[in-house]
Amino acid sequence: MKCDKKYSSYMHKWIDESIEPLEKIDLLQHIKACSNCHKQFEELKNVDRMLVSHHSIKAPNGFTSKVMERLPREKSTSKLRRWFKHHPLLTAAVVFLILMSGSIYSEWGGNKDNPISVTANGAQVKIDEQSKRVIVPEGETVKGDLVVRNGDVEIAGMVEGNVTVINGKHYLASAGHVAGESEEIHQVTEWVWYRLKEGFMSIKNWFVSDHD
Amino acid sequence: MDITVKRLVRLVKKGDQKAFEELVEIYKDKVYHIVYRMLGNVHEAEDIAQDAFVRAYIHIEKYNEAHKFSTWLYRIATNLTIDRIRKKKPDYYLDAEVSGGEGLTLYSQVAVAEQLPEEKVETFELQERIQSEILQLPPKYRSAIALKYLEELSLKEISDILQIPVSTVKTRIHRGREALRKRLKDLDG
Ligand SMILES: [Zn+2]
Repeated sequence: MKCDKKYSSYMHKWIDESIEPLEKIDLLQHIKACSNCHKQFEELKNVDRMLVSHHSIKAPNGFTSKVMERLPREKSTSKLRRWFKHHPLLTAAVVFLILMSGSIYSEWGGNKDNPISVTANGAQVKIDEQSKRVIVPEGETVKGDLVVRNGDVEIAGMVEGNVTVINGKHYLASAGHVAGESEEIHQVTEWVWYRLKEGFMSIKNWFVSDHD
Repeated sequence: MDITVKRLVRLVKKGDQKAFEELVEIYKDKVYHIVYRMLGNVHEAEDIAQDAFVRAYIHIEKYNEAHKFSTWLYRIATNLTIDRIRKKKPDYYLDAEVSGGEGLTLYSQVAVAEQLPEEKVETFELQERIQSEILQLPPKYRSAIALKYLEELSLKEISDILQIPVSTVKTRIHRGREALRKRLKDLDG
């Protein structure tokens, strides 16, 4: 004898605690009389119990740090912007100091006639005054940041840090490689931002250890 | 939603990785649980669970704060897991089951590592058995069962996570459980 399908549905509803009182009574009366459904109900409750006892499922050790390693690198500017937001007074102080130094605009110049200046951490780079170009030759490695002002830069060798070109362009030869971020600064506003960052980094170091 | 979670999500949207680390700590066990229940292989489960978090971080802008963060996160995890199940080659699939005894399942790993008393080993064997039966279910039933038995998730939340109507959630849970009952008849847990 095949039983009404509704009883199977009632059993699941019972387990999910969504059964109606009348359905409950109906089911109880049926399983008293029907051993098949009684057995099925017991089996179902058993499955439910086994599914509930999942106590030992926990993420493996070191899970969080592995996730963090896989995240894209946080941009240093976004870190800095966050720092600014959290420390508005210090930020204001830095802006004030930099602006008071008064040199920021004249330093920018934005004028192609200004002499090329290079900070390359002691690496042997070529400076071509004629074409206003700085060249990191193939085989040469800049062990740190490369900063070029008032000229273009061509990289055929390696730069282990960041590249910043102020008032100039940045070319990467196919053999060249830059490990860090590279940035070109063309506008005076970007220049102010850059100086802010620079000045800020040094001031920040007086106040805080690098926790953030 | 939990105020702490809300605050952390806002910080993550501003690019704060430290805040994200806290979110991972809060949800890692649950996300891993969902994925493991659906995949049954510890290595794959860890990989996919990590992937779910990485994606959540990258796409955090797309998360709408009107909904629960956990709903969004669990949806990413279940979708990734279902994708993985579909991509699996059938022979590899079979391998994963057969090699259960070589420490690929959670229970065998824990049982070996902790030298459990006999009773507990039996519980683990039972868990392992039911886990292997879950893996015989079609993926859509697996996800419904995994979420249903995760924690106090309501049917509404499960329907939001899986983006299907509540009535469909109920049907899948019922059918999944019914299939498990038929396969586990011989057990008297
Ligand atoms: Zn009956």
